[in-house]
Amino acid sequence: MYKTMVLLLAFAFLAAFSASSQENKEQDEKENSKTLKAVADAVMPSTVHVEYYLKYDKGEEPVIAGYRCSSCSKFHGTNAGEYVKENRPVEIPGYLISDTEVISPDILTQPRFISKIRVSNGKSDSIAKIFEYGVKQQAVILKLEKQLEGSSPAQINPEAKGPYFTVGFSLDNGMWQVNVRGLGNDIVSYPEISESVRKAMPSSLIVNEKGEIAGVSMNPEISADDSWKSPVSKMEKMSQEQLDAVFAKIKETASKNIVRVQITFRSPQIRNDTRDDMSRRYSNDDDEAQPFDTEVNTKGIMIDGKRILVFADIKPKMTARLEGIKVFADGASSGKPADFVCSMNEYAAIIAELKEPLQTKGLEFSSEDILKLRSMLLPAVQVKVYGDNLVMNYLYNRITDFDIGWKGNRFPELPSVSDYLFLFDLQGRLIALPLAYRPRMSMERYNSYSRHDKNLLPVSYLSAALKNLDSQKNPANVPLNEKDENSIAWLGIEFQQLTPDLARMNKVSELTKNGKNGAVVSYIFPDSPAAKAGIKEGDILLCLYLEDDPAPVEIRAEDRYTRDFPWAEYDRIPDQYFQRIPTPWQTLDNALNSFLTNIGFGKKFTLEYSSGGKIISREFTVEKAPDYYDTAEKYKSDFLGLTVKNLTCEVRRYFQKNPDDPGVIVSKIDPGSKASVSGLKPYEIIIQVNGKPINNVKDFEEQIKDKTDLSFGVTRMGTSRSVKIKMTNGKDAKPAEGEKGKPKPEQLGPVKAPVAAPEE
Amino acid sequence: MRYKILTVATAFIFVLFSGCSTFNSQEEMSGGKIINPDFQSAIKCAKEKVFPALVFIITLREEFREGKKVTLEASGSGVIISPGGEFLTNWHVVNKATEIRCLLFDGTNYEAELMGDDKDSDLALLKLKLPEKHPPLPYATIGNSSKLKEGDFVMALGAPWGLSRSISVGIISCTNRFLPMKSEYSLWLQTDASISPGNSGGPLVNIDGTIIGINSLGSTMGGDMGFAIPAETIQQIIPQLREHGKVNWTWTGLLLQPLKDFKTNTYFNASSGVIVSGTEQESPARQAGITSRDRIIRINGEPITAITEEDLPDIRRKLGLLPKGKPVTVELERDGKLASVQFTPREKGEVEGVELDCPRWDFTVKTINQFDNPQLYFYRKKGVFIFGVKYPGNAQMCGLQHNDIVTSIDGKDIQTLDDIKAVHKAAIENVKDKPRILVNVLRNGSLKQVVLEFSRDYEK
Repeated sequence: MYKTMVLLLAFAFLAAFSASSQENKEQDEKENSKTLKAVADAVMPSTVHVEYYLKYDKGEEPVIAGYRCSSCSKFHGTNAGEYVKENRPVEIPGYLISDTEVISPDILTQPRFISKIRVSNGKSDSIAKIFEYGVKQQAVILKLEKQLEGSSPAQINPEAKGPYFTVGFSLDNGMWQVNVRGLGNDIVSYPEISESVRKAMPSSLIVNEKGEIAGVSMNPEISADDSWKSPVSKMEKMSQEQLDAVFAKIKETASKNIVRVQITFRSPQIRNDTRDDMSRRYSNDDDEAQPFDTEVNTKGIMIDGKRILVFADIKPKMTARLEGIKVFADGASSGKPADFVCSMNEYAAIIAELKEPLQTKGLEFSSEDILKLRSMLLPAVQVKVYGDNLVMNYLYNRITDFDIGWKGNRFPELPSVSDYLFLFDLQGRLIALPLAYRPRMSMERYNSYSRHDKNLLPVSYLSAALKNLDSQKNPANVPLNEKDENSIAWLGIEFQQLTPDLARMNKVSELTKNGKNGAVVSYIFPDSPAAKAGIKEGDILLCLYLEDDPAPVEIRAEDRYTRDFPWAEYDRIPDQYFQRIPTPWQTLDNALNSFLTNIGFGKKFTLEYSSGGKIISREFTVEKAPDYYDTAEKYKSDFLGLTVKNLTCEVRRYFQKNPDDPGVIVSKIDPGSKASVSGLKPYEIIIQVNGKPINNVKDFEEQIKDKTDLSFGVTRMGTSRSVKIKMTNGKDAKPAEGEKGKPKPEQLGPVKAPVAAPEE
Repeated sequence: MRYKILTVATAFIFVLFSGCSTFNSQEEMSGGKIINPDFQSAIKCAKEKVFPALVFIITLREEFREGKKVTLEASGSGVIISPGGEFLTNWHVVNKATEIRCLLFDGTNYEAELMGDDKDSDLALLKLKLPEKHPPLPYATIGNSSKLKEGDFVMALGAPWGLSRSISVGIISCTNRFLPMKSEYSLWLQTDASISPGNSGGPLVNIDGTIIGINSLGSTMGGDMGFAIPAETIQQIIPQLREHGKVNWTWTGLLLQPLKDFKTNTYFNASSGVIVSGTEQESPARQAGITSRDRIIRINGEPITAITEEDLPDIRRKLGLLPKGKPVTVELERDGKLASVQFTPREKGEVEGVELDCPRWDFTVKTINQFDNPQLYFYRKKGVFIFGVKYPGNAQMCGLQHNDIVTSIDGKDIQTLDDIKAVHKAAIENVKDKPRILVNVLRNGSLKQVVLEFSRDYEK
């Protein structure tokens, strides 16, 4: 009996307890929602809509701060042209902090794109102007022309006690909303910059449950200690005049030290095999150098009075043709000559040195840790080269985040305009510049991923590279003289790109990802690096590994559609047509050799190939190829109208000639010339002149000197014939010794009359 | 008195000069009598003598050019030259014919069989398949073309464009026309009598009613220009065709060049002999060491001379009729020195490859022939190449091209048509298990691998 009583009592007690706690919870919740609503209500009267009416300037679309891109996860400035076209303003939240002042997040657009700014609270509105910029806060202070009816400014009381809520005002899903969230006690600490922060909503007021506003933050983080509790007046700001002064300083340093550079190249040799000539490599950047250009217009920066860092991604094949560098500083119309010093290994740049120094010390590099510059207002210059002009756009931007990229380096991310940008600090020192790393070497024709001026390189990395210039330069990427500019590298392999069917036939489907990469060797040139390494016909080339690139390079060759060379109708082809048809043999400058040339002579690489089912890895050094048809020594006889060239290895192979067979090949016949009339045609081989065998063009030149009559022994494929050309003009040649003279024409004398008379 | 004799003499000379040529030809042609050239009677004469011997021919020919074997019809004309039914026509009318049907003048028709043909002279000798004890057929006689002169009146008989029993008239425009692309060993008669597709193979007849040529080539551009095989050539060739079925030309491998060539402005300082322009690959002349620029003066003691291009066919024919297997002595001049060289010429053999079609693979092949495909012969002496690729077809889809030399299929070395026939047969039988095979070809001198997939049947 006693026991039951105790049990009952305990039960009742429990029930009452849970009931009350339930009640408490409900009570709490009621209390909570009352509080939250009170908080929101406290903020509402000071909220305003800031409307930026944008316009195009000089045909350029306005750009404002944007969002993180979902496909490449980098910030892009948002192109705000849609706003202009849809005839609506960009609507941004703002808070009234006095009768005529509004604090609002900085949309980071340039003043030239702003047509007007209007602030409204839904009931009344006023025109406004930006008059102060937050230095560390991503904020602007706007001044209204007149007061707004129905709004009251937010009074910031730093003494207000917690717990706090972070209250943000924003336009989402087409509706304005006030978001109230508790300001947690969570702290984030950044050991690299010795800072600790608390996460808040961006563009928010920090409010306690009584509705008292303790502070305001336009950044997504507030300090972990209480220093965020302060009025706007105490915020570090910069007036328009002060900002203009900063820009004036930047303009001065930029105009002196950011220069236009013009690089000229010798004309490339025209080839009938127009692999690259006619179809240019498709590029997303309109200032990327095309391999056959003769002029590159780009920008450069003075690193001291004489030396310039020139922004140019030119590869060994193009650099070989480099003829001159001219520097145009400060809008000058005539350029000052500069010499090539070296090309950089890692960066898409070359160093040049002026013959006469400019009146400048070069751009000053900042030595400050870039991590400490987050959210700060930073002046910048956007530099683009349009034709002969260097166009400079002055603007400011802020770093919001960082990204880890190439070689583990850290790159700043900017929410607004970030391409072609030179970023400075407020003292005019360079923080970051749009210097790209050299794109990865690949054999693909269209290099779709081209990392160019879109990346901002912190200047600390450039400093380090310039200090160690000797280890940074690429000795294989230098200008060459005219004789050597067409030399190519070679391995001595002729190959055929694999297809899924071919891979299957050769039983290498697994090795080559079902024929996607790889090529089968169809010919090895004797005495070539490949022959010496023991590579054989039928081996499958898999991939290449370069010295400083851990990822393999896939072997790709396009199958050039080879048409039958018209030997059968040869005599009927007019002379001018020969310039348009490709040579009957495959050029030595194929995709693989061209690629190796751009790696640079002397560099090492590893070739992976499969032979008889086994995978073999072999190291090679990029070697210079022997002369090929395009670089073969030639001789032109203007009198005859023909050009002959020495027989090179790929030509000998096509005509099945041994290395010591005599002959020179006709490369060009001028239409209508003596050679043309005599029936000589390009690609015929002249074996002897007047009975003497010809081994090279020097022999040929010797043999045709001082002769009255030339007799060539000419072969075309398997057949031969004799061609004679008179060297003198119009006069008869002297009869050779030992010949009787030509028969003299007979005199026509009277005919004897017949005996019988003719009948009628 | 003296003057009178003189004037009479000079007048006489004038008359002779002006009327000379016509007098002479008329005398010769009519055996001394002078005939007034009467158009109508001339044609009547020819018609009566030759028309009954005319034959209209329709042939069925196998053609491999489009990548598969197709049978085409061709038509032409011919003329009967013996009462037993032998008749002449062109080589290009009956080339590769599987069936030859002939319509005679009197409306009867018979099939014919080929007795012999020669590509170079474009001549073919056939015989009608007559039933036993058939009465003798009307026939025409072959005359003498060496006495022809420019301006002589001739008639071309035949069936132009299939319209049989037609006559066209003209004159001899040139008696010794050299056509470098058309024949090595013969010259042609050029006439403006209308020769068009269809009356090739028919006779070219003079006013005597004898055949002085067989119509061979016409020209679509350049107006009325036609060419005929001269009777002289025919007389030389027919015995060979009767006996051997072809003209067994002898091959020396010599390529010749005349002493004077206006077109290329090439003139050699000599008045006799013929210049060697070169020697053909693997030929007796090349092996004997004869090279270009040698000037051949005598062959087997007989002097030969080619002043212009038009003298060359005669020399080539002399060389071509040399006995095979017997050594030939050639005296030549090289760099001012005289030399004597001996070599043994061979039989020339075929001048064209044999064709074969490979159904389902959808291409046709042909054997590489030294004379027909010298640029392919350069790379592979004994082999086959792709002659035609059918569109649409398996070979075309897989990237095989015309003029690819097939070196191996499915791992088996291919050198002859029999090789490829065997591989083809085995592959077709096995198509369900192995629908793709590896074909290695030589294209422009470079080796290429092509996977031929033939699971699809394009003839369905």
